[in-house]
Amino acid sequence: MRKFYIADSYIDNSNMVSNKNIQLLFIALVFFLIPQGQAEAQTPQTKAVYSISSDCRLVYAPGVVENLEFPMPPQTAEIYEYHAEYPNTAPGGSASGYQLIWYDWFGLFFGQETYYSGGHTPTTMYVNVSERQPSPANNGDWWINFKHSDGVGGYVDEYLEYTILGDHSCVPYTNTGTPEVDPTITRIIDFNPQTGTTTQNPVFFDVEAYVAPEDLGTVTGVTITLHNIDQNVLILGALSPSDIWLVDEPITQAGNFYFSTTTTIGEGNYRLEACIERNVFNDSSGILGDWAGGIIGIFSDIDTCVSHQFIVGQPSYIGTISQNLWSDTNDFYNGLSATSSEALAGSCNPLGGSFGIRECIVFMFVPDNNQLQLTMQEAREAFLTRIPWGYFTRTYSILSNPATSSLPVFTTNIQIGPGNNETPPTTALTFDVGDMIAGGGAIVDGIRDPINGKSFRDVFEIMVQGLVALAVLLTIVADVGGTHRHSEVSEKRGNNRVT
Amino acid sequence: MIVNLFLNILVLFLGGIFSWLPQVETLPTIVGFDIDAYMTLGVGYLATVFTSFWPLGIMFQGFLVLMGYFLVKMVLRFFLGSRA
Repeated sequence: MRKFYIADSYIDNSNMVSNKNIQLLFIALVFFLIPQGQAEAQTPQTKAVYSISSDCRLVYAPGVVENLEFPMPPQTAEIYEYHAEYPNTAPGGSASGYQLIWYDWFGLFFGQETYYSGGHTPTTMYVNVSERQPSPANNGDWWINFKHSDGVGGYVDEYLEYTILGDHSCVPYTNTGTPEVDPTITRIIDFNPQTGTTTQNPVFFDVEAYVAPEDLGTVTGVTITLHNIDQNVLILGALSPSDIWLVDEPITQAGNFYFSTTTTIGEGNYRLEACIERNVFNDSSGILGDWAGGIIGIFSDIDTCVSHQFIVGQPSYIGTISQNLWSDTNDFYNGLSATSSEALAGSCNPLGGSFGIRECIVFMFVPDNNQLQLTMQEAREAFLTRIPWGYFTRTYSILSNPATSSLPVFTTNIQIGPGNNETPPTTALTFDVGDMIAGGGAIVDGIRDPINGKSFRDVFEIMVQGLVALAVLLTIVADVGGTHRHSEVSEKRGNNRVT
Repeated sequence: MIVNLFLNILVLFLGGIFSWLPQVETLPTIVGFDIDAYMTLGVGYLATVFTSFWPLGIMFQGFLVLMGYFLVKMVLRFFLGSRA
């Protein structure tokens, strides 16, 4: 799958072939009252959101990171500075320093006694990894290792890889040492298994994506969907029971997103699709719900998807044919449009050297993803914010705002002394509603099955969704039935009065 | 190109027609009641609750679906009367 830019935006045309919006329309119509068919939905592990800035600073958003380790550099060098704050965990405080010498490796430990006692969850952190004294020896590829608790006494590793360039700026790591795409734009960085690979069970899946801060309002989530091609050739792809949503994670923070899981699946041919979901009218808070948000989203949903095809164990005959056909179709399509619109425009010039009627037709009729986004935003600014429908737009904006407000705290004074005392002693009782609800949620989410490690939510969320959907469905059915009976009774009464 | 052009013309056309209308920045304040502020605060409360405790979020979604049904029913009755 080739990737390219148009006007500083990353475009991938695979979604145009899959016609995601039509699939969403089908799914919304068929499943709007039925729990979503996520055959093996997984809850992503707790993760930090981090990225490396162009001036080589580690940009970090709060998450459960227990240790940080930095690699052994090519030779002894200096770290410019580090700073970490953990005010919410006793003993609160911060740690910072300069000119640390890299002998072997350097680490900040938040869960052990090496540097700081007690378990700490840092709330802010930056580490400037470039040298105080410029030296070519420090250029090259580096990584930072994040260790997260896996909840059962072990650690899960994540890596942030980056390259220090000759001018001591930093870019995300690539094999060539130069970025394939602009590191600042929202994109799927990579995901596995790769195209053309044959792997064995259990299969390791992972996806790494980056969400630019300016896109936080319109990027709604990252998804990975696994299609078993052997079955999908016989059944409509959108409704196939063999589709597995490995990830359907809403995006609420800018920066790097990473998810990995290992699972056992049947042998055969598979297609894996990783998408960044965009929505001009974004219901990122989910308050409108899957139903209302989904219906509105259909009309402003512009996803960016990338697909990989791979084989687990032994391929099937039909699956291999399906994979080859899909590859040929996409190669053909991308061959027509995998360059910028400006480049395709040249194909419509009969006097130009790149004239081609097929490319010209594509250029004229196939809408450009980036342009569609701009048009939607312009439409919103041009007339959807005007009176009177601007009130609806504003209402929708408020409803879809992901910002949270602290719940009110109630305090009451209670007399604790004898009633006949003129100045009886009192004590203040404080009820922190937000803390109560958060505590309840934490307890519920913290319960884990000791055998397969699944949380309470993993197990029961689908059941709660099913029960709520059933209750809603029954209420509607009862209302429809009751209305009809009521009409019949009224009709009979009316007839009686007449006669 | 042509599809984009049509869409842009449509947006331009609609933008031109309605450009005289004032732009809505916030919801109005009626008899001292700041609807925008209270609604923002209320939605923030809901977001806090639903983020902290997911079953409530699912129940609220079900409630919205039910309200959507009654809204559709009400609209149908308004337009179709007793034939609905």
